[in-house]
Amino acid sequence: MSDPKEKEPDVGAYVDAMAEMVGLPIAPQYRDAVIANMARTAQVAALALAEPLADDLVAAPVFRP
Amino acid sequence: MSAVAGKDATAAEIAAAVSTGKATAASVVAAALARVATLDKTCNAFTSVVAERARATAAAVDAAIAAGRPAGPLAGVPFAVKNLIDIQGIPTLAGSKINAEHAPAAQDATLVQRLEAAGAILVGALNMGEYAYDFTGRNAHAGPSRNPRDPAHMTGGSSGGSGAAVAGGLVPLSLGSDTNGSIRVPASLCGIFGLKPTYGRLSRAGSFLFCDSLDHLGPMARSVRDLALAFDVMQGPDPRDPVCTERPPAPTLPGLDAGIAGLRIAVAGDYFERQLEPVAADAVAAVARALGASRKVVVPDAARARGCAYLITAAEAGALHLPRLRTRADDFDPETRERFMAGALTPAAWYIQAQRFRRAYRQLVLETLQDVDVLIAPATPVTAPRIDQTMMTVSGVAMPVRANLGIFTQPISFIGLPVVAAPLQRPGGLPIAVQLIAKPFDEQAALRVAHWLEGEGVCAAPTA
Repeated sequence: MSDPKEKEPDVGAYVDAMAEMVGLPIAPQYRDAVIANMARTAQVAALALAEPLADDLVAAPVFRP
Repeated sequence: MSAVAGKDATAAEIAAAVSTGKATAASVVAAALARVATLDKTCNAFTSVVAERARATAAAVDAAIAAGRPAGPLAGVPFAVKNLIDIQGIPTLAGSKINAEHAPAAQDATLVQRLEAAGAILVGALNMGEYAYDFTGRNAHAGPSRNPRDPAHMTGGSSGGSGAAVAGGLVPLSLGSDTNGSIRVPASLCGIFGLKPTYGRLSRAGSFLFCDSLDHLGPMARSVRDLALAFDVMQGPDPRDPVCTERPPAPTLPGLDAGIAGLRIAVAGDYFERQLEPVAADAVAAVARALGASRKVVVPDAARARGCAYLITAAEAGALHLPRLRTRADDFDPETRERFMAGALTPAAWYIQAQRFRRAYRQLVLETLQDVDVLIAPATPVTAPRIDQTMMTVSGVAMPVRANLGIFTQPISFIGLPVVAAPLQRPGGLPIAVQLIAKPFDEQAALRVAHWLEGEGVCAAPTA
């Protein structure tokens, strides 16, 4: 997670770059709300993922070959 | 008209009357269809009514009974399903405008097949928040479902129609889905019982999923016995859903009347005592008092769990809808569109860490609940907000309604624990439910406690 002392990430730039990367055109009238939602997700991630996880902690997939 | 054709009849009462010839399935279904035609003008719970099919199914049930064949434990019981669940012959909307262009479903969802195999009769599909990304029951395409207890108020969502149809007495039984609280929130706001089973306990085959890692289907009803009846006939492995457990069914009905003796019941502390209005705290206190549950258990890291559930939901749902977001963005509900778009851009590292934390949290909670069978927690922080309400004040803090109705449900479904939402009616006020949370695959403990509370008159779900 980002160190609070670090510079705030530019969420708008992230949204624009990532949307281009995944091929998601975002019409101008939706852009501000997408950025606001992405900023909210970043806040949630900062709280929820602040503590490190043990290296041997794996997820619990249900895929059964 | 027979009493079991009335809007107050429970599924158990209907099945008992129909299977013994005291009423016909045809008369019960005709009455249900008539109620839908009139009462749904207020509730806006139904998006499709399959009247012809329902009459045909009812005729088949009556013919089987006349011929002396077993009618099934749900003989003649009308039910309806959230419109993300496949109904053969009609497109599965999942609350969207876009899916209306899909081909009609080729077959019924597994749970619809199992309910009808038990004698129940499908009457229609129910309104929901678009693609289930919702806690309010609002929908820009179909209009909002309205709370039968007060139509100026929301049903909660995303299984809003499922809550309204049952609370309003249109049908005694519905199916909803719950990813972060979408059965338990409308059960609380509409004042009915809802069961979110253990993750993987019921097949989701033939439903339009929202977030595979967290999606559950489950029943909603006005009595706990009806939940158990429906749940029992829907259990069982299903190769069409890779998440569905291969454990044999564990019937809950036989032990439903066992009472609460021997069950260790505690109240969820800390996180579950903050950020709620007095009405929600009072509901938990009333249930705890009735059950003699004085012990408090702190489930650690609930806020973190909620955050990780949010991240998993955003990432999976965004990825699922990415093709539609690319080409049909304008056709999404404005209340979901930009959330789905942002979800599609979630960094993979966040998603994967959230999935890993899910496993750690499961371990943590199971250790915490080692000597607890049922944990009591609030279901929602408030009673039903007004339909158009976007902000609410909880514990003196203004917060968005949509994001926070599921504050207490989200950390629990995150690790798939079974929960019964059990409603308390408040004279002169709107109802509110508590969550009765049990350990994995122990739905019976939660149902037993809910049934006992119902018998004591603490919890109840009369028709609005």
